[in-house]
Amino acid sequence: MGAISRRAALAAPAAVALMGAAPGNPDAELIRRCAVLVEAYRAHALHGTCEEGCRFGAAMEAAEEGLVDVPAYTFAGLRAKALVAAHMAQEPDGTQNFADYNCGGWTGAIVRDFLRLTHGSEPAAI
Amino acid sequence: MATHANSTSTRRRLVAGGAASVAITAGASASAQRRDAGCDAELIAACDRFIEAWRTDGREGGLLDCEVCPLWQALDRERNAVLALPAVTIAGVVAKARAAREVATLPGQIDYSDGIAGPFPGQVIEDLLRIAPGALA
Repeated sequence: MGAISRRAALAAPAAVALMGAAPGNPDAELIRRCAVLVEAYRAHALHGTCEEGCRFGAAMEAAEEGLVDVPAYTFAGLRAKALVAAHMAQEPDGTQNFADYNCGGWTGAIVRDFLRLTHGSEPAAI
Repeated sequence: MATHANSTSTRRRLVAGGAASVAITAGASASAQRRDAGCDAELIAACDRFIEAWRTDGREGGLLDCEVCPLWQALDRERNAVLALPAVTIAGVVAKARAAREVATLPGQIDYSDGIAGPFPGQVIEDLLRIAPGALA
Protein backbone atom coordinates (compact mmCIF):
# COMPACT_ATOMS: atom_id res chain seq x y z
CA MET A 1 0.00 0.00 0.00
CA GLY A 2 1.65 3.20 -1.09
CA ALA A 3 1.97 6.14 1.22
CA ILE A 4 0.34 9.45 0.41
CA SER A 5 2.39 12.53 1.03
CA ARG A 6 1.00 15.37 3.07
CA ARG A 7 1.55 17.73 0.19
CA ALA A 8 -0.35 15.45 -2.14
CA ALA A 9 -3.19 15.18 0.31
CA LEU A 10 -3.40 18.94 0.63
CA ALA A 11 -3.19 19.51 -3.10
CA ALA A 12 -5.97 17.07 -3.81
CA PRO A 13 -9.45 18.42 -4.39
CA ALA A 14 -12.02 18.34 -1.67
CA ALA A 15 -13.25 15.10 -3.20
CA VAL A 16 -10.42 13.46 -1.29
CA ALA A 17 -12.19 14.39 1.91
CA LEU A 18 -15.31 12.74 0.59
CA MET A 19 -13.61 9.42 -0.13
CA GLY A 20 -15.07 6.75 2.05
CA ALA A 21 -18.32 8.63 2.59
CA ALA A 22 -20.38 5.65 1.52
CA PRO A 23 -24.15 5.87 1.65
CA GLY A 24 -25.29 5.25 5.18
CA ASN A 25 -21.93 6.25 6.62
CA PRO A 26 -22.75 7.78 10.01
CA ASP A 27 -20.12 10.41 9.31
CA ALA A 28 -21.54 11.41 5.93
CA GLU A 29 -22.68 14.82 7.16
CA LEU A 30 -19.42 15.41 9.01
CA ILE A 31 -17.44 14.50 5.89
CA ARG A 32 -19.59 16.75 3.72
CA ARG A 33 -19.17 19.68 6.10
CA CYS A 34 -15.40 19.14 6.31
CA ALA A 35 -15.21 19.21 2.52
CA VAL A 36 -17.16 22.47 2.46
CA LEU A 37 -14.79 23.95 5.03
CA VAL A 38 -11.72 22.87 3.09
CA GLU A 39 -13.15 24.51 -0.02
CA ALA A 40 -13.86 27.64 1.98
CA TYR A 41 -10.25 27.66 3.13
CA ARG A 42 -9.02 27.32 -0.44
CA ALA A 43 -11.27 30.10 -1.65
CA HIS A 44 -10.13 32.33 1.17
CA ALA A 45 -6.47 31.56 0.46
CA LEU A 46 -6.91 32.32 -3.25
CA HIS A 47 -8.67 35.52 -2.40
CA GLY A 48 -5.70 36.63 -0.32
CA THR A 49 -5.60 39.16 2.44
CA CYS A 50 -8.91 40.82 3.02
CA GLU A 51 -10.57 43.17 5.40
CA GLU A 52 -12.67 42.00 8.27
CA GLY A 53 -16.11 40.93 7.18
CA CYS A 54 -15.20 39.79 3.66
CA ARG A 55 -17.46 37.10 2.29
CA PHE A 56 -14.66 34.54 2.02
CA GLY A 57 -13.82 34.90 5.67
CA ALA A 58 -17.48 34.82 6.60
CA ALA A 59 -18.03 31.65 4.56
CA MET A 60 -15.10 30.04 6.32
CA GLU A 61 -16.41 30.92 9.74
CA ALA A 62 -19.89 29.70 8.87
CA ALA A 63 -18.55 26.40 7.58
CA GLU A 64 -16.49 25.89 10.71
CA GLU A 65 -19.25 26.71 13.16
CA GLY A 66 -19.47 23.87 15.69
CA LEU A 67 -17.78 21.40 13.35
CA VAL A 68 -14.86 20.59 15.63
CA ASP A 69 -17.26 19.27 18.24
CA VAL A 70 -18.90 16.81 15.86
CA PRO A 71 -17.37 13.43 16.78
CA ALA A 72 -16.08 11.10 14.08
CA TYR A 73 -17.45 7.57 14.27
CA THR A 74 -15.53 6.18 11.30
CA PHE A 75 -12.01 6.50 9.96
CA ALA A 76 -13.37 8.28 6.92
CA GLY A 77 -14.82 10.91 9.23
CA LEU A 78 -11.57 11.09 11.16
CA ARG A 79 -9.59 11.61 7.97
CA ALA A 80 -11.93 14.39 6.90
CA LYS A 81 -11.28 16.18 10.19
CA ALA A 82 -7.53 15.57 9.89
CA LEU A 83 -7.55 17.17 6.44
CA VAL A 84 -9.28 20.22 7.86
CA ALA A 85 -6.63 20.48 10.58
CA ALA A 86 -3.88 20.12 7.98
CA HIS A 87 -5.29 23.07 6.06
CA MET A 88 -5.57 25.13 9.21
CA ALA A 89 -1.95 24.29 10.02
CA GLN A 90 -0.67 25.49 6.66
CA GLU A 91 1.77 28.37 6.98
CA PRO A 92 2.53 30.84 4.17
CA ASP A 93 5.99 29.33 3.71
CA GLY A 94 4.53 25.89 3.01
CA THR A 95 5.30 24.36 6.38
CA GLN A 96 2.66 23.13 8.77
CA ASN A 97 2.21 24.23 12.35
CA PHE A 98 -0.46 22.54 14.43
CA ALA A 99 -0.18 25.07 17.25
CA ASP A 100 -3.36 26.31 18.89
CA TYR A 101 -3.22 29.66 17.14
CA ASN A 102 -3.70 27.83 13.84
CA CYS A 103 -5.77 24.81 14.76
CA GLY A 104 -7.62 25.74 17.93
CA GLY A 105 -9.24 22.67 19.41
CA TRP A 106 -9.01 20.56 16.26
CA THR A 107 -5.85 18.67 17.19
CA GLY A 108 -7.25 17.58 20.53
CA ALA A 109 -10.60 16.64 19.02
CA ILE A 110 -8.89 14.43 16.44
CA VAL A 111 -6.71 12.67 19.01
CA ARG A 112 -9.81 12.03 21.13
CA ASP A 113 -11.72 10.66 18.15
CA PHE A 114 -8.79 8.50 17.14
CA LEU A 115 -8.29 7.02 20.60
CA ARG A 116 -12.00 6.33 20.88
CA LEU A 117 -12.10 4.65 17.47
CA THR A 118 -9.10 2.47 18.29
CA HIS A 119 -10.14 1.85 21.89
CA GLY A 120 -6.83 3.35 22.91
CA SER A 121 -4.80 0.36 21.93
CA GLU A 122 -6.54 -2.09 19.68
CA PRO A 123 -5.06 -1.69 16.20
CA ALA A 124 -5.77 -5.32 15.36
CA ALA A 125 -9.49 -4.60 15.52
CA ILE A 126 -9.32 -1.98 12.75
CA MET B 1 16.18 11.97 45.79
CA ALA B 2 14.83 15.37 46.73
CA THR B 3 11.22 15.92 45.86
CA HIS B 4 10.15 19.27 44.53
CA ALA B 5 7.35 18.01 42.37
CA ASN B 6 5.27 21.19 42.32
CA SER B 7 8.01 23.63 41.44
CA THR B 8 9.70 21.31 39.00
CA SER B 9 6.41 20.57 37.30
CA THR B 10 5.86 24.25 36.59
CA ARG B 11 9.34 24.67 35.26
CA ARG B 12 9.21 21.53 33.20
CA ARG B 13 5.92 22.49 31.66
CA LEU B 14 7.63 25.55 30.27
CA VAL B 15 10.50 23.48 28.96
CA ALA B 16 8.62 20.55 27.52
CA GLY B 17 5.07 21.71 27.11
CA GLY B 18 4.19 18.98 29.53
CA ALA B 19 2.27 18.69 32.75
CA ALA B 20 2.44 16.78 35.97
CA SER B 21 1.22 13.38 35.10
CA VAL B 22 -1.73 11.56 36.52
CA ALA B 23 -1.86 7.87 35.96
CA ILE B 24 -4.61 7.04 33.50
CA THR B 25 -6.12 3.84 32.35
CA ALA B 26 -4.33 3.02 29.17
CA GLY B 27 -6.87 0.58 27.82
CA ALA B 28 -5.60 -2.75 26.69
CA SER B 29 -2.10 -3.91 27.43
CA ALA B 30 0.93 -2.63 25.64
CA SER B 31 1.53 -6.07 24.27
CA ALA B 32 -1.78 -5.86 22.42
CA GLN B 33 -0.49 -2.79 20.62
CA ARG B 34 2.45 -4.71 19.30
CA ARG B 35 0.22 -6.96 17.24
CA ASP B 36 0.77 -6.18 13.60
CA ALA B 37 2.96 -3.29 14.61
CA GLY B 38 5.55 -4.20 12.01
CA CYS B 39 8.14 -1.54 11.49
CA ASP B 40 6.69 0.70 14.18
CA ALA B 41 8.02 -1.59 16.88
CA GLU B 42 10.77 0.89 17.74
CA LEU B 43 8.28 3.75 18.00
CA ILE B 44 5.87 1.73 20.11
CA ALA B 45 8.67 0.72 22.46
CA ALA B 46 9.80 4.34 22.68
CA CYS B 47 6.25 5.43 23.53
CA ASP B 48 6.05 2.81 26.27
CA ARG B 49 9.34 4.00 27.71
CA PHE B 50 8.27 7.64 27.47
CA ILE B 51 5.01 7.00 29.31
CA GLU B 52 6.85 5.09 31.99
CA ALA B 53 9.42 7.88 32.34
CA TRP B 54 6.64 10.47 32.45
CA ARG B 55 4.82 8.65 35.21
CA THR B 56 8.01 8.08 37.18
CA ASP B 57 8.92 11.74 36.95
CA GLY B 58 5.43 12.80 37.96
CA ARG B 59 5.39 10.39 40.87
CA GLU B 60 8.86 11.01 42.24
CA GLY B 61 9.32 14.64 41.36
CA GLY B 62 13.03 14.53 40.76
CA LEU B 63 15.52 17.30 41.28
CA LEU B 64 14.71 20.96 40.93
CA ASP B 65 17.51 21.49 38.45
CA CYS B 66 16.39 19.67 35.31
CA GLU B 67 19.83 19.62 33.79
CA VAL B 68 21.23 17.34 36.47
CA CYS B 69 18.08 15.35 37.21
CA PRO B 70 18.33 11.77 35.93
CA LEU B 71 14.53 11.42 35.82
CA TRP B 72 14.23 14.50 33.68
CA GLN B 73 17.08 13.41 31.46
CA ALA B 74 15.42 10.05 30.90
CA LEU B 75 12.11 11.74 30.17
CA ASP B 76 13.69 14.17 27.74
CA ARG B 77 15.57 11.37 25.98
CA GLU B 78 12.46 9.25 25.50
CA ARG B 79 10.37 12.22 24.46
CA ASN B 80 12.88 13.11 21.75
CA ALA B 81 12.98 9.48 20.64
CA VAL B 82 9.19 9.40 20.20
CA LEU B 83 9.04 12.71 18.35
CA ALA B 84 11.84 11.67 16.01
CA LEU B 85 9.97 8.60 14.78
CA PRO B 86 7.08 9.06 12.34
CA ALA B 87 4.47 6.33 12.60
CA VAL B 88 3.85 4.22 9.54
CA THR B 89 1.16 1.93 10.93
CA ILE B 90 -2.06 2.53 12.82
CA ALA B 91 -0.50 0.71 15.77
CA GLY B 92 2.28 3.28 15.76
CA VAL B 93 -0.18 6.17 15.67
CA VAL B 94 -2.10 4.62 18.56
CA ALA B 95 1.11 4.48 20.58
CA LYS B 96 1.87 8.12 19.84
CA ALA B 97 -1.71 9.15 20.61
CA ARG B 98 -1.45 7.41 23.97
CA ALA B 99 1.72 9.38 24.66
CA ALA B 100 -0.18 12.54 23.71
CA ARG B 101 -2.97 11.65 26.10
CA GLU B 102 -0.47 11.00 28.86
CA VAL B 103 1.07 14.46 28.68
CA ALA B 104 -2.35 16.06 28.18
CA THR B 105 -3.81 14.53 31.31
CA LEU B 106 -4.21 16.99 34.15
CA PRO B 107 -6.12 16.56 37.39
CA GLY B 108 -9.75 16.36 36.36
CA GLN B 109 -9.28 17.07 32.67
CA ILE B 110 -7.40 16.23 29.50
CA ASP B 111 -6.02 19.28 27.73
CA TYR B 112 -4.50 18.80 24.28
CA SER B 113 -3.56 22.45 23.82
CA ASP B 114 0.02 22.86 22.67
CA GLY B 115 1.01 24.56 25.92
CA ILE B 116 0.27 21.29 27.72
CA ALA B 117 0.58 18.50 25.17
CA GLY B 118 3.36 20.04 23.08
CA PRO B 119 3.85 18.67 19.57
CA PHE B 120 2.32 15.23 20.21
CA PRO B 121 -1.24 15.90 18.93
CA GLY B 122 0.04 17.59 15.79
CA GLN B 123 2.31 14.65 15.08
CA VAL B 124 -0.61 12.26 15.45
CA ILE B 125 -2.43 14.12 12.70
CA GLU B 126 0.64 14.27 10.46
CA ASP B 127 1.13 10.54 10.90
CA LEU B 128 -2.51 9.78 10.15
CA LEU B 129 -2.36 11.74 6.92
CA ARG B 130 0.92 10.15 5.90
CA ILE B 131 -0.40 6.63 6.25
CA ALA B 132 -1.98 5.14 3.16
CA PRO B 133 -5.57 6.31 2.60
CA GLY B 134 -6.83 2.75 2.67
CA ALA B 135 -5.85 2.44 6.29
CA LEU B 136 -8.32 5.13 7.20
CA ALA B 137 -11.07 4.57 4.69
